[in-house]
Amino acid sequence: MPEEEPERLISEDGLRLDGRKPDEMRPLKIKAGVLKRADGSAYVELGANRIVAAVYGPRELHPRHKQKPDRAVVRFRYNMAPFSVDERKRPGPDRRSIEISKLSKEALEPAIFTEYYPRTAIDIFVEVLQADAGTRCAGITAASVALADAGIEMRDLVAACAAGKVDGHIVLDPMYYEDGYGEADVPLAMMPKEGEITLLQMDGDMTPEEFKKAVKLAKKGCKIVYKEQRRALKRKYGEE
Amino acid sequence: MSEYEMHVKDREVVTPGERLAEGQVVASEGTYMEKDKVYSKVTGLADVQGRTIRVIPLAGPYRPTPGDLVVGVVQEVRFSTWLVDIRAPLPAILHVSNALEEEVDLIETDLSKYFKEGDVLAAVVKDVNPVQRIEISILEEDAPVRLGRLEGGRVVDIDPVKVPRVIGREGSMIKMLKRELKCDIIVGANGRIYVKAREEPKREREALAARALREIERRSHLEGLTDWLKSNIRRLSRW
Repeated sequence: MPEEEPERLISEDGLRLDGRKPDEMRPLKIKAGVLKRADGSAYVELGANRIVAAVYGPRELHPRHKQKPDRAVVRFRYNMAPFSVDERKRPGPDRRSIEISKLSKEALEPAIFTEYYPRTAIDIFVEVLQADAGTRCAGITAASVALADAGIEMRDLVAACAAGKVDGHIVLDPMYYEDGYGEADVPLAMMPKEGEITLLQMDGDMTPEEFKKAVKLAKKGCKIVYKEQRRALKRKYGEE
Repeated sequence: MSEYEMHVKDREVVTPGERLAEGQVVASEGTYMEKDKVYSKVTGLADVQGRTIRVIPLAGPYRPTPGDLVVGVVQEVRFSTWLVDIRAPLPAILHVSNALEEEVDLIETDLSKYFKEGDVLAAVVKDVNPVQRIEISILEEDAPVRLGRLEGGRVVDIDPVKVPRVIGREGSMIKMLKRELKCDIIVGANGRIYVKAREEPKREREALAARALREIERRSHLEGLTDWLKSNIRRLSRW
């Protein structure tokens, strides 16, 4: 974050600080199967975000009293590396990462056929190596690819993307400064096949009209993400 | 005749949620239906045979099916059962009644006198119930190999989805390996492979077999793999 707030986040000709149009996403790169020991893994670059996701399981869940007799338990851990932000991030879970872990788990669970794996656990780990706003969405995107890479049976992939309000404009996929100095942020995750939304939050102030516009824009972003997720999985097996 | 439409080609790589077909089709394993549309639920290869579609997974855990021959490792000895790791999400249960022909007084005997922790067993999956209680047996009469404890030799774990490649068409690959390496090989459907050399130098032969199996796993997508391996098998050896 710069010491001083930039004078304006959107220029007169409607371009953003990094030269994007309001409805444009940052460059997105996804790679499936980057870790050898994990059952499934993925690496995501969204703008300057660098995120690794690993999936283990389904495997036996200990302690046994936490097992569900009719389905798998999904566990999600979101963590930021101490060096992922300018100011050293104190290692370990904090209020924010516990919240993100919970809602990411809830965003992914509807997509998984958990009933196929009773009494087991599916463990998902998301590590943010470099943060550039929108890490919860990029984390869900990465985790979903890692789940598919692990061969876990799913109804659909889960794609996630945020929209925001910056200088009164609704923009897609806010980056670092826009997230820090903008007026609002709307992260959204969905299963694009049926358009089911599995995560929707809003941080900041927006009118109902602006909110609707932001949701529409974030959905559009998810479609782009979804395409890239599928390409990443196919690429691993030599197609494309 | 009823109408149907396939949206993917045979052998195409598909991802979870991908629409495969609609209308009057037969949706087999690896797929699910919603209304009259068929979707994939795994990352895998589409296998289209007429109006039947299924998806062959390219990754994933071993899913036990009754009748499978598996190679397992005893994990725990209990009062009347052994818990056996067969690389499924949960351990398999081997009950005395499925393991021993003689009658045993369970109060008097410690079952580890038969099989103890760490023993390697060849077994057949007998039953998998809806809560994934997996029962295995070593008393099946029509099993393709001699069931029970496997002594000596070594165990190699490969990706369970690559097992068909190790066996080859009509067993061509596995037959070649057994012949060329002079080894007995038992391929578990769970991707665990037991190798035991018949001739000296035993350890070297077994190590070579392990290397050959890894090579098959790594090159599983190539055509003509059996011939390639046959002519290169000597090169992998270090003796």
